[in-house]
Amino acid sequence: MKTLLALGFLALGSLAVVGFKSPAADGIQPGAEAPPLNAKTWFNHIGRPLELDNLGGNAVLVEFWATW
Amino acid sequence: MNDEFAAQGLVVVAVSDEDAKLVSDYVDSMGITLPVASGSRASGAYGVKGIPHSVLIDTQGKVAWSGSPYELSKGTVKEVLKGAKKRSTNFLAIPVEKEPEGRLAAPAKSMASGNPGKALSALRAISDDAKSTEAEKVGATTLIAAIDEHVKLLNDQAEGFVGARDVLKGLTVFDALAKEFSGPIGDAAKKRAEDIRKDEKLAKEIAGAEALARAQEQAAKLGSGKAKAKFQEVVDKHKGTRAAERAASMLRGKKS
Repeated sequence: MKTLLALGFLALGSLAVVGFKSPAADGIQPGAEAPPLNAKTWFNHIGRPLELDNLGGNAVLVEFWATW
Repeated sequence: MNDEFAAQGLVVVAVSDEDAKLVSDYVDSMGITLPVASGSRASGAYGVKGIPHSVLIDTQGKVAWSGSPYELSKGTVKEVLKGAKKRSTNFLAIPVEKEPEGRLAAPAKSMASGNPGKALSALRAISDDAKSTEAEKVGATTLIAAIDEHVKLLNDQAEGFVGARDVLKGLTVFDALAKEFSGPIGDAAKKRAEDIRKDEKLAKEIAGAEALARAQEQAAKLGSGKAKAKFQEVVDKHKGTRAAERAASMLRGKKS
């Protein structure tokens, strides 16, 4: 039973690796309320810290990144 | 793609969880101009597993798409942009959450479109008018408080910029406040700008920053070799200024 289960998980796992990849597979689901950005500091910006609640009515593209 | 859509109203922001100094140096050396956040843990709430990762948010604050930046299609972005407002990058603009009606509508609109000085005069008049209803007075007082809060924020930020030797940036804010507001707010900003310009040390920082801005403009048109020479000139001629440090950082960042 355990072996079958393990094989089953392996199969599912390899599906994910092979490329069963929809845009929603990694991360928050479309339709969900966008969580606040809660940044400590903003660069190239003057005024109130950019936050989704003061960007209502705008379409926003958030790029998560790092310097490395 | 981003420039094309920015013109249509897409707000693009880059978010990192790293600390401010690291991000600041990177932004400087790479000459990044879009708004960048440091110290944000939002990636957790967004379920981000690997970076870079993009999340497109619609005008109702809902996630429209989440995934690899390389897989985000123009079609998806265009869809989300339908009916989207254009965000004013004018830092004097004060968004008003619920558009008020009646006599408060016009001042609220002025606030949102970046004319808080005009709004303030109108709001004070409404507040002082004996014929104003209680609701109008309360509404005006609330909006006046929002303007005062925003002015304080801008003043604090401007002082912060000057303190961090980003003097030109600080002056941009003080000059804008001086131009927009009459009375004590405008006068205070005008005086601050004058004092900054008279300060010997700060004047050097300004000269360096102006030289760097010119170098950046020219670098955009020149090949990388000539561009590097322009930045080196800033390093050599404006020693000790933040501009020289930033130019040096850009030289390190730009690989030929």
